[in-house]
Amino acid sequence: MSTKKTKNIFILKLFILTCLFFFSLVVSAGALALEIPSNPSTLVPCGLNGAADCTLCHLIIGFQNIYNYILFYVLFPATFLVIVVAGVMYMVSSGDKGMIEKAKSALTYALTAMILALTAWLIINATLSALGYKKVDNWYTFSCDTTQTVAPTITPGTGNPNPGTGTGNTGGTGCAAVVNNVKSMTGWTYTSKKNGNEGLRMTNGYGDCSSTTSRAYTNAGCKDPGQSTSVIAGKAGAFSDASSLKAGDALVWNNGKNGHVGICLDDGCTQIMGASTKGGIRPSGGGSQFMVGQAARAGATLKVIKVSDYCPASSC
Amino acid sequence: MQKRNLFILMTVGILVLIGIVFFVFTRYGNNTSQNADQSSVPNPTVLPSGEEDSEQNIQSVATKIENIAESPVSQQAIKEGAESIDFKNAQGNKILLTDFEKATKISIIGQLRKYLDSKDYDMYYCPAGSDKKDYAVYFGYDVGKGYGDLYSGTVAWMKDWEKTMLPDLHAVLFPNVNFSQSELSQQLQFKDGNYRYAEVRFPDGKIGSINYSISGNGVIISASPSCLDKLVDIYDPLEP
Repeated sequence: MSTKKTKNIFILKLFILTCLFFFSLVVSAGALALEIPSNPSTLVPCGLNGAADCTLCHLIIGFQNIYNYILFYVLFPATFLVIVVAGVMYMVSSGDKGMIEKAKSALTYALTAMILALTAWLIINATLSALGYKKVDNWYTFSCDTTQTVAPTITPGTGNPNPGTGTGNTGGTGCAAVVNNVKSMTGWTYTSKKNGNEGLRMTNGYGDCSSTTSRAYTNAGCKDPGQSTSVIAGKAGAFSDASSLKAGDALVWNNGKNGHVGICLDDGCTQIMGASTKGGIRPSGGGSQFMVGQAARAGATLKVIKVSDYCPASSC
Repeated sequence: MQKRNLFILMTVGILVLIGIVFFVFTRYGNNTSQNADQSSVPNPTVLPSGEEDSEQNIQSVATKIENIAESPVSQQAIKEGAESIDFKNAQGNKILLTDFEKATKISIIGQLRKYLDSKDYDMYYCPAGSDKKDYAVYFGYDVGKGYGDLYSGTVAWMKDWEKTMLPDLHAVLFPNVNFSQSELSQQLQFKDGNYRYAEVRFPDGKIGSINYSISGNGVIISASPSCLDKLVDIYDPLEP
């Protein structure tokens, strides 16, 4: 009678544990959707073989990967193995009470360990729900930035760290080629004479407003308007209105101290080639109106280099 | 004897079930691992839907601004005079302006907003003495939408925006200041100077300012004229 009672209690325990096991699996199904590295060497996804440099975020990702790895690649197989061994022990026990007890203990401990591990989600979900959190199905996900937090250098003169690949010389000649040439400089790093980079600013991939203007003209077989805003402004004629501007014309001003020059990218000059320390050489949205406003604020007169005066007349 | 057989059958059945479950999850695990191997940095935080990504980005922006506001001025900012705050997602791409707006709860005047690039925006801070910071933001045009009167249009839109610039942008220009509703409603009187500017009265009675400049590439708005000087030098550098 006592043996029968013990057996019934054991079967009841086994039934409850099994139910809990499968219930836990269902509850934790969301968490199982996480990526689990199968190779232990990739648990910490940084610092090796060209991977990104490690950040604090990688530490958290590493902890999560290690937890998932232990759960899926250590705990599951170990539980499975113990259950198989216990089952075999049970079947071959032939009534040996000692062996049956060992098998029972092994089975109980294995299932209990597995359930404890899996019910972690259940417990936290239940606690969060009890505390009133409405969305408790993604508490195990997190967001952090794995990129390096060192801000890019913004020292005037260093500019865009990824120079464009255009050559500044599209092969053509004449007025249209001036525009094509300067457009092909989009993405070049801003490097100015003011910062002592006189040589670099004339090298492909680098430039400032005057050096890009000069090269767009000369690479198109046109006369060089000059390599500084003061020189270009000295050669330029009076600016009257935007409607008379043609693609390839260059607007320029210089107040004796500073200046700016840009090539118009379209007739009417709604867009002009600009330069910024952060964005490098690129089209500017302000067009001729921006140049008018900037020159006025600097107390300078806006002038124009007519591309047709610098390139062969037949090409314009 | 019959109960014993029943028990053995149950155990075998459970083992088979566990085996099936384990097999299914192992296969799933391998699939996800293979996917992870294809990218150099496996990232369990990547979520499938754009909406959830957006939520993460919004949280990331808010956290970054909070951290910057509480951290000391960096050596780089002291050396350069300004430091940009990078807003990138887990993949290293610039977080969209829409998410930046949601995270900071700023509001950009509608006419200008239409012409802005979705990724060409920046937030900066400049050292302002004794570990204080002046903040500034830059919103760049989508150059493809540029047209002949964009500059003069921007001048007009910015003047319209002056009426609500403080409540619309206080979260990025003065992240450390807790304005009340009535303080946010103060009428700013913008004037012409080196830049357009207006004085702002803070809750502690001190006076600050909002200053802005229209660049060839967009607009720059700053909490101090000296910080705006730095940013104008970045976005509209001049040459001899």
